[in-house]
Amino acid sequence: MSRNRGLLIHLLIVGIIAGSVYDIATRQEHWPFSDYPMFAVIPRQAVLENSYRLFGVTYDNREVAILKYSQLWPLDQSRLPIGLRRLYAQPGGRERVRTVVEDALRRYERGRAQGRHNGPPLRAMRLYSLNWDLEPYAANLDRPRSRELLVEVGPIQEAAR
Amino acid sequence: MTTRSLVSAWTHFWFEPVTPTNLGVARCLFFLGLSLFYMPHDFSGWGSVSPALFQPIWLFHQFRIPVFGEGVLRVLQVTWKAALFCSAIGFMTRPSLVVSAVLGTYLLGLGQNFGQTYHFDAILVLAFWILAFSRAGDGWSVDALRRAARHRDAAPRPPSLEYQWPVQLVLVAFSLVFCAAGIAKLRASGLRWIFSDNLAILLDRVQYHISDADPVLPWSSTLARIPGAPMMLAFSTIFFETLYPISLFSRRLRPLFVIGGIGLILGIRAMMGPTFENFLLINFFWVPWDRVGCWLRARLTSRTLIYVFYDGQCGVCASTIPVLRRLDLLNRVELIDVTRQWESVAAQFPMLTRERCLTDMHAVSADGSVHTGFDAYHALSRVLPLGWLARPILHFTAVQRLGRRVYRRVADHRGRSCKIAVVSAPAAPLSR
Repeated sequence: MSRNRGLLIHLLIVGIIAGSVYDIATRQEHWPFSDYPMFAVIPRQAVLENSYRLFGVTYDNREVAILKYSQLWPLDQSRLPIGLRRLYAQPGGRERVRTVVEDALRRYERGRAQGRHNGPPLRAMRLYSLNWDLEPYAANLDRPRSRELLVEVGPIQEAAR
Repeated sequence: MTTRSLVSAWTHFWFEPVTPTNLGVARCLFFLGLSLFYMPHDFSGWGSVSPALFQPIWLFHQFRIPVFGEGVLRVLQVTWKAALFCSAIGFMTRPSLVVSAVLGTYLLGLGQNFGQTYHFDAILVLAFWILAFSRAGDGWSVDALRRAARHRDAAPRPPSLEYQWPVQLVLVAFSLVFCAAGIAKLRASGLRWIFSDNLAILLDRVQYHISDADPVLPWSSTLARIPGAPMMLAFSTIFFETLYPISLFSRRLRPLFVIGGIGLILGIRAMMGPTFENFLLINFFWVPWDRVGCWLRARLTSRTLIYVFYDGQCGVCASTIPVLRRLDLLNRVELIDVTRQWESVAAQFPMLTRERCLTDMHAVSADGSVHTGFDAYHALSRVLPLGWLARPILHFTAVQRLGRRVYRRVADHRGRSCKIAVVSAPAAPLSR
């Protein structure tokens, strides 16, 4: 092993260890380094508060939860609501949230037209903030303690393209 | 501890001379797993997600990395998946590993800019970069076979300082991931993470579709109501996560922690939802493949043997034989140069003639059956582990017919491709 290559490898070793340890010590995230905080904070009560969720509105006025990956692709039931909640909390975030929900409806309909999923056709999409008292097996999934409508969009003219 | 002993320990940990086997096999299986895992994934959708949701992570922000359109992403993902496969088989290994690292960082990082940063792929990206700087293609690769074919006398790569550090660094990074997760829990919640209703509540909560995927098994709420089970699971989680780095140093405790880590990931996926399963592929780096090979050889060597007779003065054979020798992982093939060892061959295998052996490659199985030409390769596929992959295809009559035709054509024209001068050599006895 040449001197230069040895130096390069040592730099790589030190860089990867230092990057990992730095994020752990400072509780920061510099992807692909991270302090891996998932599930670290314990819930104080058996409740689920301020959980954002998208609902599609069908042409017979039913509301259906949009949860399937194929319907949200490339987003998913966790990434999109958390991103929306973060946006909503920012100044001027409401308009951006509206834009994202419009985009979600447009993508849903495009995916349906392309056969990516077999969900019902939607005339609108609504974003709710939901609150639940937890029950075993999520028995009350369809009956949250409370819910607040944050944004409603639709119909999208180009939806069925 | 003196400086000298620290340096010695550092060198022993990272730079012990070893053969390329562990690194090569782990590279092969790791990338093969990734190729299969990511084959159905389509990253092109990120190109058309509303920019209103774009919240760049530091990497994309700092280096002003753009989000390309769907068309460009399609090209990039096809290139990346091809690079993953080439890295797996070790074809043009160095460039393939570099492309895997560069495009892997981009494509896997892309989604982290939209909504939430996931941790499923981060360790893979670190592993890509570690392997991109390594000499992971020196063993167990198409490149190594091509080298063997080009330089017929080339011996397999000897032990080198180059082959231990990449494996160790992947494992250190992996251990730090587990350790970080354990430390984060203890720091944020202390021992209450174990001795409270925490995990029971989490197990109920994941039923409400809050994770990127739903739990595979519908037993989370049942588990949450078994007295003591959530606390027991929480304790196991903290124990295995926080102490995982012990597996780097203790060979005796390593199986416990590695199996514990695998159990954690499977348990999280089954009961809570998050899709950490690609994490499991890193575990290939824990396995001492060289020792697994020795163990297998010791048990399988005495089984079926096959004798292969070839023309040592033919250029085509001269480049094929070193490749067969490398592929003979279980030492079940006896390769015999007819031009050098004919006297011994004639004594042991009276059914063979020298002229026929010089015309076509011959193989004699343990039961005494003789196979010639393409059928000799077919017979070889029974004893070469890589040949087992080809067995289902070789079973078809049409494939066999085509194979015989191709072999005949190559064999009949090999005189023109023979570049190795005829050298008279003394007869050597057969080794078995």
